[in-house]
Amino acid sequence: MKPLLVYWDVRGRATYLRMILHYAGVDFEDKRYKFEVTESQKAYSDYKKWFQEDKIKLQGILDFPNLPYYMDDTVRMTQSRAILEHLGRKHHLDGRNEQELFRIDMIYDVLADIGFILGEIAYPPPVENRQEIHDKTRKAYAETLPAQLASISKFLGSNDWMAGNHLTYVDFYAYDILDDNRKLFDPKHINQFPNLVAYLRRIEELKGVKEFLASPAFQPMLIMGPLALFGGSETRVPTE
Amino acid sequence: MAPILAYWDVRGIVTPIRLLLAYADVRYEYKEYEFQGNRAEWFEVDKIELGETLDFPNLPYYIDGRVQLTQSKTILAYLGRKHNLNAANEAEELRISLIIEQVSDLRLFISRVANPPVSATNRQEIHEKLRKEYLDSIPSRLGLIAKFLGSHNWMAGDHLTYADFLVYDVLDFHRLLFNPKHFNGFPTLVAYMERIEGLKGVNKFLDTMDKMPTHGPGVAFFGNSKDFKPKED
Repeated sequence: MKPLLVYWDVRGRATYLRMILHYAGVDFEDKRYKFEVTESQKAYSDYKKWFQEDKIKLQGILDFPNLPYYMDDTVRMTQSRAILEHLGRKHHLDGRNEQELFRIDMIYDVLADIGFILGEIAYPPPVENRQEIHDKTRKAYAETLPAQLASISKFLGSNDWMAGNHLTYVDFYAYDILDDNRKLFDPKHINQFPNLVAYLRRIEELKGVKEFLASPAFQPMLIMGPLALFGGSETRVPTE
Repeated sequence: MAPILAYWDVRGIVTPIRLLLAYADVRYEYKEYEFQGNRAEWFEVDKIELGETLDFPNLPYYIDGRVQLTQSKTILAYLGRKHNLNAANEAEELRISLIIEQVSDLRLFISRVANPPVSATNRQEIHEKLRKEYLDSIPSRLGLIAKFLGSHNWMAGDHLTYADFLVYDVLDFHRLLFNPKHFNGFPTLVAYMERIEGLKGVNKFLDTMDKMPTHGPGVAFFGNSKDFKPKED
């Protein structure tokens, strides 16, 4: 079967999976559940199809039905990190020695902590004052951003890639999280770190990745879903 | 020199590492930083002093000569590889990575229930809404984990791996913070927890581990005292 990757029609947790597959030259089906925002600002359409039909049909096929999911002739997986690690092993984009393995894990964990917080900011708890909570948590995070980027920049150092001297799967994840930050917040923060700017450009130039990022399939500004309090629309001017 | 593992004096996210080290019978120094109060020993002294040793100074940290790590999942996976408690083949790699991510999501949900945004004035309201969402999701979440375990003894399949210590700890958090009755429909999960508790090294560690809050007193809204009593629901 042609490998199948399924997710919502946004960047979310799929961009780095799409990137690694394009880099590896895999001819895969990039299936997306679409959002459609109505006049009353409720996003539905494929939303119902996923939650009320397809997710249920996948019980027994996927151990933990969820999006994204990935299927090919040998695996049926969910959890974006598990999928990315599998594709890393499969396409020779994994760590080659102990030092690389824990460098990859450590930077992945650090970036995942950031990704989690961005999600919390974008989707505050279901209470009336959620806009106010969003504004406060967004500002608090922005204040920590320079120091976080500084430690990531120091970790990368003069290496071309996060693991060291060769590309691995974590570089696609790092690209996505760092790019999320320069789209959701002022790019001036990341521009303070020339090695990070060069690193992102290096990834953007990779054959396969370059074409994907230039295509309509990438959707650079649609990081979160349409109901998110930031990152869910084409036009967003970062305020911090 | 023995390795050093350091963390706050709470359960938090360090226990899976301690369970693995107990099972592997590793001698190490355990350094605890006091969470209550101004936490100056960590934030004003050691975090800065360790700035050149650790790439991302944080708790927990693990230092063993030239191996200097933070991030609990990184430390756990490293020790799993070191002590032959990791995947033996690709099928096990897939199972381990999947269940680790799945229970990590569960742990993050518990964390959201325990730590409503500090800047919000209505933390109680937020906590109660999230707590209800969490409890509503539990039967199906535990059901899928039980189904994934199936008739295996361990999450990877036939042998114990580092993933089992993480799964144990997250499920144990649920028992400590909510009602253990939620496990009643899942005898294989109950047996799994007992199997881990019965492991040589682990049983002795659990018997002697101090009773601690699961989450940080003074910051967390819930689970923030060693005498925390869950509600009946």
